[in-house]
Amino acid sequence: MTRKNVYSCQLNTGKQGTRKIELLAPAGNLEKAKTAIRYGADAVYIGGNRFSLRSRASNFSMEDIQELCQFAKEFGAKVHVTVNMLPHPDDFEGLKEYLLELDEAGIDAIIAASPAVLSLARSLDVGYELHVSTQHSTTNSKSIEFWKDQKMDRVVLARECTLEQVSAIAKKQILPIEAFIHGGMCISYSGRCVLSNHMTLRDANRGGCAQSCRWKYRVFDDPKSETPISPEHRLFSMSSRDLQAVDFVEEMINSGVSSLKIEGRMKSAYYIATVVSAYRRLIDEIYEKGFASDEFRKEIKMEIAKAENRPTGPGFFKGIPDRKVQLYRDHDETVTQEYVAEIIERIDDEKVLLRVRNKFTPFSHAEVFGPNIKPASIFIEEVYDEQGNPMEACSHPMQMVMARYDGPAPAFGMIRKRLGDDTTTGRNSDSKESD
Amino acid sequence: MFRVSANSKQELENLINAKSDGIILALPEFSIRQISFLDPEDLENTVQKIHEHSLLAAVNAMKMLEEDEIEEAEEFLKLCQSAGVDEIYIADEGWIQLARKMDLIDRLIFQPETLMVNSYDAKFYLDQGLKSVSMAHELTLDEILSCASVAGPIEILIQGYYSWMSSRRPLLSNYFEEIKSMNESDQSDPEDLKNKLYENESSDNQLYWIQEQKRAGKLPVIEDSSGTTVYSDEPICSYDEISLLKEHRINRFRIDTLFEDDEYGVRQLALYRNILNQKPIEESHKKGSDHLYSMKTVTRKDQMV
Repeated sequence: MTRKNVYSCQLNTGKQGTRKIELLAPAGNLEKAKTAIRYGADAVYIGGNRFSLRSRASNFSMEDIQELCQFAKEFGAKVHVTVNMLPHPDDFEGLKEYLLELDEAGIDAIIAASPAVLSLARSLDVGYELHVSTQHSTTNSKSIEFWKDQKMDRVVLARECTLEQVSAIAKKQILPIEAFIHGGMCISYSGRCVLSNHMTLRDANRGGCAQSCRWKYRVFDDPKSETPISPEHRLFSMSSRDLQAVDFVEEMINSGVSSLKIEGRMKSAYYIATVVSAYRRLIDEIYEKGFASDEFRKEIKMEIAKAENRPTGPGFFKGIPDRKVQLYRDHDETVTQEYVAEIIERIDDEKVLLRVRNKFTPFSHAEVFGPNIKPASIFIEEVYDEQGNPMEACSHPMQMVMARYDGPAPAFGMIRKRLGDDTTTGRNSDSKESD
Repeated sequence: MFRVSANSKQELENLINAKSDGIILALPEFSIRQISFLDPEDLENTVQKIHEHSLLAAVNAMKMLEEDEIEEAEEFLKLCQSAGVDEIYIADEGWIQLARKMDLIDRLIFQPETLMVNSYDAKFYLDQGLKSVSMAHELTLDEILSCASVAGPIEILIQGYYSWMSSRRPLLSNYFEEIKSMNESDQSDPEDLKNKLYENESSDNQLYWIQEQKRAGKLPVIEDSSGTTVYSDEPICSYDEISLLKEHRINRFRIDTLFEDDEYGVRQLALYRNILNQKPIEESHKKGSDHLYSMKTVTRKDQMV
């Protein structure tokens, strides 16, 4: 197959240019990938059953990948497949066939770390693009020139770049640049950590990372000493806040970054829907108005916070992270909202068919959000089972129920509630905004 | 055949006298994982001295190159070129691109600590014209041997501590700041503990040891201006493997002297030479472990035996 240029214009040339920046979302399975696309992702990245990191993610069979490619085409979206493990000598078996099968499936790009994998794909004259993984920790434009000389199509920058460095690199327009804007961050340069290998025998660079960096360590100023200098109630840990780059997207668009990437192939469909739709709104606002106001960015941040389960920070975008960008305590996870139901369809003017995801009760406050709509507060009134019997609580995940509420019911929409609001609040409770 | 890092002027002298085939020097700014550095103004004379003994001079340039350091990196390479440096250890592709334009590519050794885990990837860099590629330490002995037959001139760290994790963040400083901030509201900690915590805060290089709550080994940690590196709890030691490695046509062996005294490199060099010459070695000089050569990792939790 002759190698095609799957992106009509590879380089983002800023707001004044012709190509809008790509919003690239993660997906651990077919459902999540479709959700990401419906909620506004221009492209999704997924892992196949082999040669991919994140072995704990569900990952895709070749049939799933084919189905996703068909689905993505209907939305004008792209599919990138991670082939990003660093293979040991015995891991190459079947790689050539796999790369060809991906081509047949119709994917748009692979993301790989091993030059051998990238070179093999290039030699096979596949139709998809070759993207150099962040596992290479690319932090400078000379490295991008190197990859361009190797006929690569895109480079994923290291998360260690400051915003200034990202802009300077992107402005050189050597190759399309992909930059992370959201999600978990390795404490190390990607690919340069083998703590997991040595402490658990699970290979970090082949998908087995046990996140040993996040464990607790005592600190000593003398290797022979048995008395640590670290207090027992606040031990040393190498854990970072997740990245959240709402304030930096405008600069990245203006400087010519081609793709904004969200991390999290292990995350839920709800998380993906929330984060993708929020960044979608942000990007569209910037293209439409030329900027995003402080107020608008604040709204987007509040929306994203409804999906977070770890505290977020600016990563390296504002410079070398200080102590506030790291996590030391045991319970830094914060969950404020819970995904309670999936909207199936509107039955009539009053009732909506829902699929239960987590427990909720009738006569309670909630929020609806969905593809192409702004989140809206609702008050769920009566809920009935499929036989029409009124329910006191919806506590069986995947049960179909009919709910009465006044508000939007978009196809593939989701209903979430604020944690702590799971008790019946009463028919006469005041309506309140979710935050 | 042997490359040994020099961590002090005394060690440099010792290695020259011991005729280490190559001596790895550290310079400020772009050399990492070092405790002490050579003054750049002394580089030319030092290289000359090494050459006078028919030995090779290598320089550690393994810092990840940042966008705003490119010009400085070019100057660094020019300095190495004019001083006649024979080999330059690097860890990112930006250096390759710079060296290519300066006709220095055949002096580069790619040493990213991790990443190089198969012969094809090693060959990719060798095909760019690099002199050698240092294989990652997470390979088993069998895997290393299989790579050697395909890749070409690969290098193996045979002795010394090696990096388990490399971060751009000042992890120790951030932690100490956290403790300091916590203590500002909690005055219950003894004063001497606080003093211990802060006494090295302002120095450029900090060396501490960390120990995971449920594990025995203490891991050395160095923080400097380029970030933080966590090292292995013990040095790799290859007394029982070097002959086999040599038989498989591996001809580059590196000894890292970090955390050791000025005589360490010379002692180890003599030991390995004796082994290759089939002479007896003194058990008391042995230091480290070779368990890495048989350490097989898995890719998923459910594969654990």
